[in-house]
This record gives sequence, structure tokens and C-alpha cells, in this order.
Amino acid sequence: MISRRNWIRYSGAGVAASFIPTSHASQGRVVVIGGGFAGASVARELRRLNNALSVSLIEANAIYTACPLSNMVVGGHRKISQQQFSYAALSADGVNVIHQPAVDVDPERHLVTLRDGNTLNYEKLILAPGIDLDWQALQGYDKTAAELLPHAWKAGPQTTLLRDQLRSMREGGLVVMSVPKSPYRCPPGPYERASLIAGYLKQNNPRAKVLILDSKDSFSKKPLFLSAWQSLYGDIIEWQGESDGATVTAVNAENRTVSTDFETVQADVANIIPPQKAGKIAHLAGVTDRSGWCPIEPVTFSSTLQPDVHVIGDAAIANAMPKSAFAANAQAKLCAVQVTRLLNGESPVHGKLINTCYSLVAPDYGISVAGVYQPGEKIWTEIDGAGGVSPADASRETRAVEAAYAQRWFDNLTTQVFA
Amino acid sequence: MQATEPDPATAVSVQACYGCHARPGTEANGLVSFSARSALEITNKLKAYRSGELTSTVMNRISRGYSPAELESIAAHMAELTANEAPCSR
Amino acid sequence: MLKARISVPARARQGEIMAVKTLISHPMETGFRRNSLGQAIPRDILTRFECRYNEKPVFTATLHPAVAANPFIAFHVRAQDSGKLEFIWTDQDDQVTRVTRELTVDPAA
Repeated sequence: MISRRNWIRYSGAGVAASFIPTSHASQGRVVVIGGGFAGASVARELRRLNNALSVSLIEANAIYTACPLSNMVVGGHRKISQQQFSYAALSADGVNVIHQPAVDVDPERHLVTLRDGNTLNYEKLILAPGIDLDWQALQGYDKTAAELLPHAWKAGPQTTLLRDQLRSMREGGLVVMSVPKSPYRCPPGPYERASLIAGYLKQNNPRAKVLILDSKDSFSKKPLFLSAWQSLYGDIIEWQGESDGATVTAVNAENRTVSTDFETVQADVANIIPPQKAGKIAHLAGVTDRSGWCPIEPVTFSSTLQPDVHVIGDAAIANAMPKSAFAANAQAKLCAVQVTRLLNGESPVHGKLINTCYSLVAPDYGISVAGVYQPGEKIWTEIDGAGGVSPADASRETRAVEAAYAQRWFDNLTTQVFA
Repeated sequence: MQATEPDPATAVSVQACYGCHARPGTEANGLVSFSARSALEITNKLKAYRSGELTSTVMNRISRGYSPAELESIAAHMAELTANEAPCSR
Repeated sequence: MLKARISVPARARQGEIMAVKTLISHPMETGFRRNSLGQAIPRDILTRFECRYNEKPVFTATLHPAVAANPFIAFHVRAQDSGKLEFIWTDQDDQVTRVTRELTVDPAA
């Protein structure tokens, strides 16, 4: 158990700030697990909305490595350090940041257990664990295999591993990408990655090719990607979908082969993006369903399976809203409002949310998808008539503007969450 | 910040806008900022995006998710936040 | 003619059990769904699949609206004589897609 003394030690900077009087009366205690775009945002928002709240953020890593724009690292246009952020600003805002993993949640006793054995008690728990890769889903693909065939679907060492494999690939080599069925983190991400890999190859290894073996037939911004690939990269990228029999069923890490039901492809570099599920702590907390993801009440993001637990970001089943950094941040800001109101005994707000995602087909060629969403009784639905993707006939100037916006989108979002 | 309390749904919508646009008072290198714009100016711009009179990249697609009345409330709240937010706070 | 993929060995020993995998590109529209305007989307399904080995049916299946898009059918066939494997899909309007593969069978060891 965490002693009162320990609690104060853990609380750190939070203690001083929490004595500043506010108009809100609540002295609630909120624990957030996971310090990505969802978790870090909600922790900070809660303190901004009510600085009398005690907010603890449990995150194993001291440095966060962001996924958006990490394909630019793979393509050689950004440094991995430009993707990295610390939690110093959150601590300064009075969030009690604890850098160790949470190993258990007891929803009945409202208790979170940390790796060192200490426990934290909460009135409201917000789970933002993101994704775990499903190491059981693809024959031959486990953590050891990922050291040879990188997934690079969690930014960090995997990202630079893939980049370095591309750089040292033989002349005229074949890059094979395996893409899972939906839902997975960042729906257009694999295709942005294929684009930026093709851009790198065009410059540095022009006879090399990219083969995408996809487990589905349609994907986010497909017509825009296909036409951009044609015009920018000619025949460097080949895409095969489910109806081509391209669903990857097994890999062999030692031989670097990727197999479907109909063929085995010899790769020089293989980027295997495996099926995914909600982060492990969500399973331990009992908030996942048979799909491996977390069902929620749309308006409040509260779990339908456990009381006083909210789930936001990639782990949540937000229906029409994609698993994106922007959606995670938007959900976090709404969830912070709802949790603050619930702790004050107020009723939740019916608010609309936005998602905006940019994909870079080249550093100066951006395309976007946007959507506006509203919570229904059971699900988040996209508002008809709004949203959609960049026009198919946009000029190269527009593509360049969207590419510049992608960069500023990232800067704004990361400033808001981490700076 | 002692601004009049906005309707909570509007406040939620405005927060979503700050996913791309810099929050008043921040140094963020966000997309086009709202600083020094009046409620009327923002309203007119949002409505023009909604009707298609003005074209942009994502704003036409996003503004169509809101009614003209919602856009007015959003613009009013944004202008108020810009006017009230002290430069040192987030 | 629809796009189909077949996985079957080109060569086998007599008596060998061969794994056969087939996939055909087809929406398998059930007829029960509605589009965004609320109009029913007409049924469009494959109704029958057959595999013939030297003219003799060795595997048949009847397909129904519950079968998912891009039907994947896998089964086993015992290698007997060299010859022809035919794969035949028939849709609700009797349109036929036919793919043929040659098979060489070596005498049992």
C-alpha cells in the first residue's frame, strides 16, 4: 500500500499547485495510465480545468516517442529525436508523473498497483494504454522475429531499425510490407510509409521495389494514394489486397520470407505490421471485450464493463472515429471535461469531436482526411455531409500546402500535449 | 479568466479546434491562428467555408459538421478566449 | 470471368494427399443490406463451387448469402493420375468462372 508519506512524495509538484483556490469545489483523485497523445492530454486538461484535482499519470517511459511523422524518420527526412518529448511540462502543471508500469487494476477496490508494489487509489481511472501488438496473431511473428523483421508500429528503436535496414539493403532489393485487417492504429499509416520508402528508394536505390501485401481490399485515402504513387513513383510500389489473396498468414524471420495462402515471397527488408489489440493493462482491468478492444459509453468514454473507469485513445472502441493521435487528443479533452463534471456532480456534456489526419506521400505532397463526429446512444457516428478526403484533382500547390500543414499540425499537437 | 461561462458543448467544440489551431496564449506553431480576430470575423469565415464560398484544405469539410448557429457560438467563444487568455497561461 | 487464385502442387506422388486452396474475388452481397439512402442493395452472390479432377467432381460446395466476401475455400484431394484439375465457380445468374491447372503424378515410391 502507498503510505500517506509516499503519496506526497509521488505527488511532487502537484502538491503546491493543488492549494490554489478555484471556483470548483471538488478535491477528486484521478489516475491516468498511459502517457501518449490520449493520456498525457487528459492529465494536463484535468489540471487545467480544475487545479484542485489530484492527477497522477502512470507511464513506464521517461521519454515519449511520437508515431505521427515517424514515417519521415524511416524515409530519412527527420531525426528520431524530433519525435521525442519529455513529461517535464506535465509535472510543472502539477501532474504527478510516475515513471513505472502499472501491473494491475482492481476496479472494485478502485486500486492501481505499480511495479514496485505500491498502490494508488482513485475516484476515477482513465486508461489510455494505446495498442499492444498481437504476438499470437501471425505465425512466426513474435518479439524475437520483430528484431529481424521490424514492425515499427510503436515509434522508437523499431523505427530506426527499419530505416537502417532500408539504407543497407542490396541494390534492386524488395521491401515487403504486411498490413493487417482493420481496426489498427493509424489507418492510412502503412500507405504513407510505403510512399516515403518509395521516395527513399527512388533517390538511393532506383531499381528496388515495394510490395504491399494487404489483408483488406480498401483502405483510407486509397484513390489518392494510388494516383500519387503512379505519378510520383511509377511502378516502384505494388499493392495487393485481400481479393488478390495477399493476406499474410505466416513469416519466417531467419529466411526473411513472407507467406500468403498462395505464395511465399522472398524479401530483402520485411516490415510486418501485425494485428493489434488494446494495451495489456486494459485486459488486466477487465475493460476489454472479445474483440480485444474496450467498449465505452460514447458521451463520457466510460467503460461499459467496469465502473469509474474511462478509456480513451487507440484502446477505445470509438466506432467511426479512427485510431489516430488527433482523435486521441480530442477524446482526451472531452473526457477531461466529463470526468471533471462527474466529480462535481454535474451531468456530462454532449459534444462533437473532430479528427484531422495528414499523410505525406512525399515531404512536399500531403493529403488529408477529416471528419466530424457525434455521440449517439450506443456509438460515435460521423456526421453526414461533413468530412472526407482531399480532392482527387487538387493542384501540386495544394498538396504542398497540406504537407506544410502536416508539419504544423504535429507541432501544434505536441506543443499542446508536451510543451 | 473571468469570461462568461460558455455553453459546455460549445466549449468542447472549441477545444477540438485547438487540435490544429494554436490555443490563445501559446507559442505553438499551429495552423492559422485566431488571435486578434473578432467573433464576427471568425463567424463569417466559418460560414463561408461551410457554404463553399471560401475554399481551403480541411475547413470546408469540417465546418459542414456544424449548424450556422453552432458556428456562431464557436466563433464567439474563440474570440472571447483570445481576448481573455493571459499570454503566460496555456 | 472473375479474378481467382489457386494453390495446388504442380507435381505429386500417387496417393499423396494434396492441400488445395482457392480464393475468388467477389463481393458476396447478401441482399439484406441497405445503402446510405436506405435503398436495398441487390443480392449478388456465388451459389456454387466445384473442383473436378479429370472430369470427375472431387469437391463441391453450395454457397449462401452468409458466406463472406472473397470466398476462400480450402480442401484436400488425393493424387491419382496425371491430368487436369478444374475449378468452377457459378454465380446466381449462372455466370461461370473456370480455372484449370495441370497436375503431374509420379508413381508411388
